[in-house]
Amino acid sequence: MIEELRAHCKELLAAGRVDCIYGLEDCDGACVPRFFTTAAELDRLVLAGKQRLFFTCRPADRNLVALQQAQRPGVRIGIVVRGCDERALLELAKLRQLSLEGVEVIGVACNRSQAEACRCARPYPREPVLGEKVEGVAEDPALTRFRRMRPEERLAFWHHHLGKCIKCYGCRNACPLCFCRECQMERELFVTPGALPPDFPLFHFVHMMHLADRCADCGACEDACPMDIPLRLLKTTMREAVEALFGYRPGSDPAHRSPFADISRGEATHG
Amino acid sequence: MASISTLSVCPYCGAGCGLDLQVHDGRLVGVRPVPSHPVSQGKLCIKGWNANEFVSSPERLTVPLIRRNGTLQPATWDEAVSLVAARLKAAGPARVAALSSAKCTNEENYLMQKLVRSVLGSNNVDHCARL
Amino acid sequence: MSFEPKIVAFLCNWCSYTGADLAGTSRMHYPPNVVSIRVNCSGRVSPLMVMSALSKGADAVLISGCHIGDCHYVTGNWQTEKRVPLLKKGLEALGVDPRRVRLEWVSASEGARFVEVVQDFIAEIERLGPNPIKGASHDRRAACSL
Repeated sequence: MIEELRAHCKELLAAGRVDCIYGLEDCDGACVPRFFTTAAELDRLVLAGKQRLFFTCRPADRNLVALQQAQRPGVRIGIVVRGCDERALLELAKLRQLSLEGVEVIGVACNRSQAEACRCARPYPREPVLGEKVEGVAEDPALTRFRRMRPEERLAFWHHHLGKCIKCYGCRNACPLCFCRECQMERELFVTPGALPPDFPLFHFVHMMHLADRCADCGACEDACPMDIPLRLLKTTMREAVEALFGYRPGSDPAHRSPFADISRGEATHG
Repeated sequence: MASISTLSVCPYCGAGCGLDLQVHDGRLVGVRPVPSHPVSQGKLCIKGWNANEFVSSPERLTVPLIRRNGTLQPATWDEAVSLVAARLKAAGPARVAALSSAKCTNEENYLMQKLVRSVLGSNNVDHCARL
Repeated sequence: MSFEPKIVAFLCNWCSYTGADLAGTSRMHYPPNVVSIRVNCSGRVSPLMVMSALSKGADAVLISGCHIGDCHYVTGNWQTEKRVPLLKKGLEALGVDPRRVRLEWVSASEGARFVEVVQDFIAEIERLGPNPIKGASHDRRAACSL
């Protein structure tokens, strides 16, 4: 399938439909994000589960696509996206962190074993150009166990896991949807400076609340955590709450804005 | 298109975590972990995540500085090197020490300890990571 | 020694705080368990403030604002109405009882209602017991004054 993908991208470039392709490159065994401008470069295009396309460069405070778009107004970029990448892309566009103008979405659906490796519920973009949509993981067994816990068990669970946190901010830095210049997870008012483990549970509560309506379910947070904290359980729970309360699913519709993105009353339930 | 990744190793401690340095238009704009790295496996500590910051820090020295009358003042390389060499020679091995840095390359750190041990004849060399 | 709940109440200036004040000037008695924080609108209350209170000494948090449609800033309490249910889900996910956060609309003339709300809330928190995360924060500054 990778050969088909490379061929497709080369065609787009040759036909002049895009100025470059944004995807992942095999760089001496490591997989890194790259803007490809020639067919020869595209021979190193790969798809890899644990590497994501969207993230905010700090302290530049922008993602790479935005940097390109700022430097070259009107540039046309073909972006190779899997399901999670597309969800992040659409949310970032809605939140004005990059523009969809000039972006050609090259959707690639993941196969079943890739979906299982990422414990992904939706391993496909909306309209994949390559690959067949397969059913995602119906429910992560870790989530099932978590749901069954009684409140005291849950509290003890989080006390144990969040107590391991070394405050590396990897979860925040790796997240495609985290781009705030002034991050509330760094705010002294809420998070005591220099204290480890960070204030329980406020430190992680900031992240789960702020991502509730924008999480792309890519798992980057959990992959970046050196202490194996099951962060995805928190994010998934919040995402499900947003869907149940407001009928909103991040990354599913470029026109549907988050209920928290505007001041209208919305359809929230009270209490 | 001016956006490239350069793979490197974090300079801050002996673990040697993999870094993917994001370079855009000749400037270092960010750091990513490297998921396939055998040591770091896609994770970084807070120092690694911010390893790029010192490169463009406004506090970086751009010229040698010599302390004159209690304040640090810009000087030429010739002035600075001559002064340092003269004072090191005058002090002798028992009275010199050198402190190196995690923000230097391994090669620079090697040169520092070689200078102190072989040239100046002293054992007094250390590194900021030990503080 | 029986458990005395400590409740932090974020009260909107235009309606709820005034309503609470009316309870006071009308000499209506209510228990002293509530620490009031006047905010200019209930929509100003961030979930982070609520969690902050809960991890720095509070057993429960009351958020009170104008009735829907009466917000002094027109749309402020709509934001509160959206945020609080999500905030409670967050608490639940962490194992903290969501009943420890309550949202009530109290108008400036509802002094009696304010008293009822407070008494009912205190009774519920007495039943729930002390908040297991109230001492969790490293920040000890607030705990001594609560």
